[in-house]
Amino acid sequence: MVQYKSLGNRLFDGSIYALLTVLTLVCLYPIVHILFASMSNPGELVAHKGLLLAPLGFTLDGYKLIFRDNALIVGYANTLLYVGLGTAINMVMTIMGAYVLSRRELFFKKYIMIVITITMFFGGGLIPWFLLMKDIGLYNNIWAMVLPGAISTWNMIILRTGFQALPQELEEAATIDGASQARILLSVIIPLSKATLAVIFLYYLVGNWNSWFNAMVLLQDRAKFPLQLLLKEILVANDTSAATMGSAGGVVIDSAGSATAYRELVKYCTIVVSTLPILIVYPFLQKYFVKGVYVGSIKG
Amino acid sequence: MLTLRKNKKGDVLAASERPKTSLLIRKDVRKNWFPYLLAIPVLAWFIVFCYGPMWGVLIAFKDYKPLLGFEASPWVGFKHFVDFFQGPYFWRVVKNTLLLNLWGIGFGFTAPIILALLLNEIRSKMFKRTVQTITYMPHFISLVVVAGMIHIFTADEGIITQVLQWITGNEYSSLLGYSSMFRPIYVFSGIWQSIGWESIIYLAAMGSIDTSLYEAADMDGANRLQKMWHVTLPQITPTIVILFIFAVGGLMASGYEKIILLYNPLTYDTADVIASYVYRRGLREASLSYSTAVGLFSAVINFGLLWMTNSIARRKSEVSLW
Amino acid sequence: MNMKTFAKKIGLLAAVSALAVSTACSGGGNEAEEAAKSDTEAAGKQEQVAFTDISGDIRGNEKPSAEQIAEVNDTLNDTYLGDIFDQTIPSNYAAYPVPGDVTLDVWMPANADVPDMNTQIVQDQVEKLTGIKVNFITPPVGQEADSFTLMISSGELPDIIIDPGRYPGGFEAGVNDGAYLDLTDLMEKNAPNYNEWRNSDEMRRKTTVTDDGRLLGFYGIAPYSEWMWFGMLIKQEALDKTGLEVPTTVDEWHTFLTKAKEVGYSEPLNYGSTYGQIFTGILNGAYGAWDWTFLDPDGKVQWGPAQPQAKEYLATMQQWNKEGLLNRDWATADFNQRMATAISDKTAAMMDSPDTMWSYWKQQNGFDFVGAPNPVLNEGDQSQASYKNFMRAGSSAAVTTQAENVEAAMAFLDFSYTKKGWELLNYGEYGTVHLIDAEGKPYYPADSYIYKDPDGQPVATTLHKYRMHNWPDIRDEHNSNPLIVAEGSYSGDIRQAWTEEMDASMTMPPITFTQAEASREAELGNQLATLRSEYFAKIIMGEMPVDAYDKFLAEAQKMGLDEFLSLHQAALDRYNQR
Repeated sequence: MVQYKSLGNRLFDGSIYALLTVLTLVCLYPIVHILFASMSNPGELVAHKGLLLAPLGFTLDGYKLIFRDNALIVGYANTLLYVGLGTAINMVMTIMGAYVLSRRELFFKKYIMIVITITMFFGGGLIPWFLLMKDIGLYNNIWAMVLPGAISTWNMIILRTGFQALPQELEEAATIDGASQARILLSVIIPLSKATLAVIFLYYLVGNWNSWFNAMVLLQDRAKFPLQLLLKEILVANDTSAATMGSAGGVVIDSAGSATAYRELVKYCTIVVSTLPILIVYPFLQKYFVKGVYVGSIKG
Repeated sequence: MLTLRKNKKGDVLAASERPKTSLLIRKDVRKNWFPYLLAIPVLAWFIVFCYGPMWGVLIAFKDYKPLLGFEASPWVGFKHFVDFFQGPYFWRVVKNTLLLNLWGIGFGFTAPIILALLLNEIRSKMFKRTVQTITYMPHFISLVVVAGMIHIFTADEGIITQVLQWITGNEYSSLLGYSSMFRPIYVFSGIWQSIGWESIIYLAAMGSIDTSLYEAADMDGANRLQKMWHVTLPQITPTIVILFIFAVGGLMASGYEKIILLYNPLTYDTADVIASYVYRRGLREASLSYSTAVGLFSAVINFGLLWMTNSIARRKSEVSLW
Repeated sequence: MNMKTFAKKIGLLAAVSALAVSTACSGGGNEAEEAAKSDTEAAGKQEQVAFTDISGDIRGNEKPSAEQIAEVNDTLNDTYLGDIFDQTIPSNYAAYPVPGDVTLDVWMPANADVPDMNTQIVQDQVEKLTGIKVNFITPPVGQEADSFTLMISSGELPDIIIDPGRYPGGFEAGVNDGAYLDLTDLMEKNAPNYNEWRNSDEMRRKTTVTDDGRLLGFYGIAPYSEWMWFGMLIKQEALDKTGLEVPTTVDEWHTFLTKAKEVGYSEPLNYGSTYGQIFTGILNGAYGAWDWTFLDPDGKVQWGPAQPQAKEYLATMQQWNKEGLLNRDWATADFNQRMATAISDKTAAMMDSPDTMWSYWKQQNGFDFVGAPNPVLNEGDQSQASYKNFMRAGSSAAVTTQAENVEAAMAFLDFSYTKKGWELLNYGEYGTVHLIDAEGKPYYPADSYIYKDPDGQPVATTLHKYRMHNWPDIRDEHNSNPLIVAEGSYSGDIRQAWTEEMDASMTMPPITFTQAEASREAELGNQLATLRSEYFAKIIMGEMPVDAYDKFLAEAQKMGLDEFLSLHQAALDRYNQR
């Protein structure tokens, strides 16, 4: 019996490892494909069929092309601005809101909570939202990239739960030492909630980096467009002209055939360039994920 | 807001005597001026950005023309609602919204649970960590890029198209041109995007399972599959129920951002959901009032659904959102 | 509650909260105010007197000196330009340079080949000559319709809108709703050139005025009716390989395509794409199932998709699709994908513009090709097409009700209808792009940037880069489209032959709708178009049986097809009365 059990155990283990390996490869492959394709010779790439397990030839022409053009660089700079400013405002507003909701004996807390909860279930819809944005002057204004998304109620409640989970005694001790409420927030509550803060920081960071819909609806000037909106033109509307104009930068596009190939190449390169920064950041915060997400969600 | 709150009725505040209330408030404000100060901008934000647009739904009952302004646009009552209900696309968008979400629940909801169950069995830290890092990765890729990748991979000679041809033996053109392909593409790319990330919450729940339960199961001679089935799964059930309530509550609400990045007239008959219809009629065809009416209709239905599933869950499992 | 005051109150709250949150808020996001105006330009209006005649220096000059180039490019002197059309192009420059520091905001759909209109070379020169600065606002590619709606909804309009017909219900509805200015009373004074040009011919006059005699804006008006620009094109090598003649009937086409497939063209007919070749009248016209509205022999308006033989058309196409005669991705391919297939060895025949294909096939890839008239059902039938140019070409423009300086906005648009504007917009810069021949007619020399772009781009791109291809102006397509006039190009010949050989009498003239009709027409039109696209595409793809057409017809009726037709009939009757 014992032997049977351990054999079953080993089979069980083996199949789990195998399943997970396959799943992981499936998750990874599309990304690797894009990366290899972005460095491949465009002519070979267009003719290639099947899986791509290594770059076909090697060229950085695609990257040269997209960085020769100003549009993407301006988009990149805009995105950095919106992400920096937006995430800062997100964090400040969310910390303030979560702090208020985590106070135990606020008389008006119940009403504040009601005001906030209702918004999770009801909204005005797209057109009324747009009309309001325009009325308060956010149409074609870069603050449109920052203010409408200043708070994610979800994140605020996660953080509130994190704040509430802190041992009450710490706060009481600090109060006895004569610390003000502001002091306690800054030097007790915030430092102790690092894991949850790291997770919501990442949520906001990623959200801001990837945001495009507000820009599409609210921004009018090309000079204000973030990277993602330009990406949408290139990837979805299939318009790569902004990136493939001309042949300067050492890349000569001699015929329509090769222009088509380069268009494909440019798509792959823009994906890599726009996605890499985020993919580099998140593994550093990964150790906080489980703790941060969990604290905020289950332990009510 | 995944607060688990046991549903006890005894939580009602003891009736407070009236005269004391104002005194209580004054004392409270004096003592807690700091939190109240911080509450002001937060509440202001909610009032402006969340309540502000709610007044705007009134245009659903008007024939709103932006250049005439709100006041000068004529009231038309329920005309737009009637138009929608009687129009040719009512059933289609309702059906598509429901079906797309049912697909999402059927496949998308269970996938991360399975992944978490599998990961929970892994003892090698290295392997576990590698699997997690890689499966989280797609979550950080923007929707625009994901849509771009789908366009590339399902194109006429894209890799997914080729694989499908190889499996089925049929010839396929660009997969995004077949209405029968839209739901699978939408849902499976969604699983790819979120399977890793959404498994986190289940893993966290598993992490807090009392180890004595497993020990007891060992004593009963349970094998690992049985432990998975009889211990792990029941222990994370509250988490599953809460997330399920959200999923069912959102049956009629699908995000339209991904849909509008992927659909085209050929796939409207499976891809066009209420939200994308609102977007298209509102922004593409400039029927502002009509689009707002459709949006309002779906908001009301959503709220009803959420309320319904919540009360069912409360009765059945003592787990609920409120 | 009043929306505006409510919003104001909220705005105040927002300001308070923003202040509390971050001190950096103040003043952020606002554009820097325009620099203070200088009065110095007022003195710049001296040389309104007659120009020195420089035709001796410029005409026929193949190697102009730097001074001569500057004289042509930097001044309004147009004495070297000849009168080459039946009517003389006006040359009233009294308004230029416009005094003061004027900047106009112009909304315009982006052209994929011109990433930034604000650095477009021709527009820079127009700014120099008119003294008006222009800030172009271009929406994201593929997002034009949404951006337009949002701009109108925002109530913040630029000074000028190009392609104003996008307004829900059309151009006239935009004027009636108060988005665009009614220019009827202003044209004579503020746009003397446009006024003169549109009145120089009866057809021009009739197609640029509304039923009740109003002038809504500036329409592109050609000196002549342009040739048909779209039709069947066949690779010469495909004819050689199959050994067949240019097919004329639908049956002959079927034979040809089948043979072409046998000799190796795997998807012989490049049938369509997302920009809609299946609705062009090329094949469906043979069945009388025109893509949209058309005139029947009695002069009544009919809707093509509802014609009796439409079902037969769909059955045939479904069959062709099944036999693999059409490009596989015809329903989803965009322009780039379509051209990629066209230049590959999959394609034998193309439904497109000979200009485009001359660039992609002949010039860039060395494929010779011939044009074929639209197919007919029976041998000997008259080939038909539903395209007729009513001397309206290019684009159109509206001045909005929010234009601060209406005179300047009109002066800017009016420049396009002067001789100098005609030269510059159609032929680009003098010297690098064009020269002037002995008769005073502009032409592209062999080493023009149009043909030999320093950046190495093909003519299909340079024609947007060094000149304005679609603009409210006097569009001189036959003489200035480099794809037509380039050495060895036969695309103009094909277009001319099509225009002469095919009967286009069923084409609807440019009718307009009254305010009451317009929004209903737009709504019905949108719905019918969506319905048609869906059913036709699915039937041809084989996802629906041909009999689904009956359901389509029933739904179209239910949607209000009859009402739609009666709106068009009424508008047509009024047009005929103009």
